[in-house]
Amino acid sequence: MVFARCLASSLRGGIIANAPRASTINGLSRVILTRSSYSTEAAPKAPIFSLNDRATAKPVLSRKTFLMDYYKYLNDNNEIVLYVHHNNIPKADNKKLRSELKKAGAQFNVIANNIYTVYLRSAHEEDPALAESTKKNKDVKHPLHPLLSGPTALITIPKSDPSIVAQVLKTVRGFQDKLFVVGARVETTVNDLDEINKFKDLPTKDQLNSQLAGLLTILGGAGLVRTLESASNMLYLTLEERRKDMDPNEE
Amino acid sequence: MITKYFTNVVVKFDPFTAGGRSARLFLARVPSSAKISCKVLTKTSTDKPSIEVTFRDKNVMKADPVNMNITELREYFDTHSRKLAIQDAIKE
Repeated sequence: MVFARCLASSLRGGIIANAPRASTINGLSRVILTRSSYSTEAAPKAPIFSLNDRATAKPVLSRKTFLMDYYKYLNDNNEIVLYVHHNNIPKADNKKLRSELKKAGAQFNVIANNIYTVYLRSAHEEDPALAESTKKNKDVKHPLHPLLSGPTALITIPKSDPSIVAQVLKTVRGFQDKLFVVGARVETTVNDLDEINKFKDLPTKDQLNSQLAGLLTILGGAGLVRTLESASNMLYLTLEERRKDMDPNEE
Repeated sequence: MITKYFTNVVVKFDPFTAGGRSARLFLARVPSSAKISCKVLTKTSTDKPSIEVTFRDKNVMKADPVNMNITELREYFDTHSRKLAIQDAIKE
């Protein structure tokens, strides 16, 4: 709990100021030690909110608010989120799983379903933890919501790279029925297992881009440029003809 | 739920539909002493969602997670588990 609070305050205070900062909460003066390392690559966009003027649904320094902020941070900074069901994973396996995923470039996070559901409902808000957002989005039905029943965990992958997904799925398959993927979010789409299995066999985005560029230079060259220009050329010629018709001084 | 007498559990479910909830809650309650195999269904798959439990006395019970919630599933499988528990108690 104390650890979570420290982390919460450092996450929130991280980018506001790098020097120790004093703030008054509930009449208590506390110094928030912030570390400049939070603004480096490891955490590119930590959700930073002020502690003083933030009307959150739960107390600002509570675990629930921290978790909401953490889920927002995970979702905003990872292009792929795999939702997995975990079942009786022994401690040794858990450690192995986490280290293998880390090696592949992913992270394993066990989530609290209810808090994650509340987060999902107001995920589109700038600050989902606000009482106002929670109240406003009370009846929102998120497409990922059905996945949040029973023991659920997230595997977060920062870049949408199919090769990492393939590696992660291979690792997950090694745990057989202790761990399996139930669904996923890839960038902005919600995918089921079939779509994920198809996605993992795709080439990476960079490869696709270079393929497209290559294709355009081979096929296109002048031809493509002419095709793209033809619409504006036609317009110019038509207007020019019209101008000639209208203008009596011409000819 | 009395899970002591389960030897084999086969669960098929689609996590995006109503049956997913009770199936996953059921899976979470089955101990690792039972042999679990599960299949995640998708929109395109032809299999029907189902839960199949084999007991120690080779009795097989089937249930449909779509129409039953976790309480109903528990009561359903407990009917046979209780019989086995009584047999055990008599033997002792």
